[in-house]
Amino acid sequence: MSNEAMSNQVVEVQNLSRRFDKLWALEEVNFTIQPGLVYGLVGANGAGKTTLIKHLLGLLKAKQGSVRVFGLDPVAHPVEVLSRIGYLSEERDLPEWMRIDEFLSYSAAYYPAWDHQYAASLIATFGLDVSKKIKQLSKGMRAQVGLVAAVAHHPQLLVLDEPSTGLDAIVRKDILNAVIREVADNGRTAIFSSHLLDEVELMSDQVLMFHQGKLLLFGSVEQLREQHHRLEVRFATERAQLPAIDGLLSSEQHGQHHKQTWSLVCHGDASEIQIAIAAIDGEITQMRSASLQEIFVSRAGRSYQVEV
Amino acid sequence: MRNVRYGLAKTAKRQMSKSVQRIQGDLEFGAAIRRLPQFAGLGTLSALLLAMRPASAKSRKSEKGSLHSETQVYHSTATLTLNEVAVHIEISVRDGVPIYRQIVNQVRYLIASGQLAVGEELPPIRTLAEQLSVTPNTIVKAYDALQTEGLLVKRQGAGTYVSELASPIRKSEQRKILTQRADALLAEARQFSFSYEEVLELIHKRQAALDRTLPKGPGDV
Repeated sequence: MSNEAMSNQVVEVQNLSRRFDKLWALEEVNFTIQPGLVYGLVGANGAGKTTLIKHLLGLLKAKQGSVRVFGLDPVAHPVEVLSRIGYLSEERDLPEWMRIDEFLSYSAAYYPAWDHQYAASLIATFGLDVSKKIKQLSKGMRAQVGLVAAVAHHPQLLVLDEPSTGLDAIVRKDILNAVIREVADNGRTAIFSSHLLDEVELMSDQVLMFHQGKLLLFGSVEQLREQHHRLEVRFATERAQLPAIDGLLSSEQHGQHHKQTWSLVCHGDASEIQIAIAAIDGEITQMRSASLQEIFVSRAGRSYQVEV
Repeated sequence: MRNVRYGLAKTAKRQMSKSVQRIQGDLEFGAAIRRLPQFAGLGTLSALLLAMRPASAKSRKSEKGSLHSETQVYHSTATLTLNEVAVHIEISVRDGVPIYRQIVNQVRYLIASGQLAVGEELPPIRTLAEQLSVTPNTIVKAYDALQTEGLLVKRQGAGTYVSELASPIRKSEQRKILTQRADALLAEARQFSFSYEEVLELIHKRQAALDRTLPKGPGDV
């Protein structure tokens, strides 16, 4: 408890860089995570999300920069840090040969705070047969078992790596509801990575957008949306390309027969953008704040294709 | 009594949503309005219109690498059962209005239209967050905003209720909503180069058409 007095921040990452061979997986990453909020981690495959999560869990040691979780170095204090974290890995690497009940009592042994009643109620909600072996389970059932193991000790920090990948809507909802419950009832903190940007937009208070190892954007969903605008612009004459506009992130022409209309995503003050468009004789037929998906594609979309 | 009134509200909803869809077909509704300086930043309207749209939540496929499919629309719907009457809250990330604002606007509308009565309890934060699949802090923010407006009251440890104050506020909320509709209509008319007289004439015609289908005013039920 004295650790919390020392640092109110759940996570503090400073100047974190990590290189695998010649590729920078993380580059000069800085951010802090406050208690009681949900953080969405977005980026294409290979953007650095999983590398970052491994640093938070102490599975990778910070070679450049520093990582603090509950004010502690997770590599130097694995027991103190990991006992307060709930983690659902992307691979859901569970011991195949164990039965569900064996796996859960094995997990419970690691956590003094394990809530047997809560675990049992989740198992009942999911309709899982605890006598089944993990290797017999479907992908969705595995995720459910992994989820029980991640939340049954009511962790102060919940870390979910791609919790929605490959799951049907029902299991996805189970997972989201478990996050919502921990945050709403117990004021816990959650970090989840996802490539489903609409889901992140609804589920997150704060968004961390990674691209090629760099933290591209960090802020509340509302801040990000207020700063990014999507416009439909009509010109009196056809245009092969657009003149330079301050804050323009991406532009797209509509089909071959409509060279007069363009879709734009811009960053900055709305009125300044309106003035800039008027200055190039454009008529704005639509303007609204951009969605997270539009923001991401406009900022990272070009090189997304060539990434591994 | 409540059920009957709700049934009527539903008819009105259906009619409203038809006209909204028609307008949206050509040109996004809110955008035309927001272009005019006096309506800059007006987002409430589209959220209100959204509230009136028939529930059409579509589930999406989850597949890896869907970052680039642009046509996905993420709707989330919550159906609240209050005094045996089902009311809907629907949110969308494509609406351009912050999620908590969408919730504030829809709850305000539910109160103004009488679907939420004075003293009625709202769902707990966790319940609504789970139904809409949103972070609980969004619900907290929405309820806080409604409390600041005087429409909701929190009783310590006992939930959130529609405030006594909501009753006198209701009339002014209704007026506010109609004012927004009128502003939207006028802005749209200007966009289409309709004169004020033409708009008035249209209103007269629509009123006559409405009189034929609804023999009595909505207040007579």
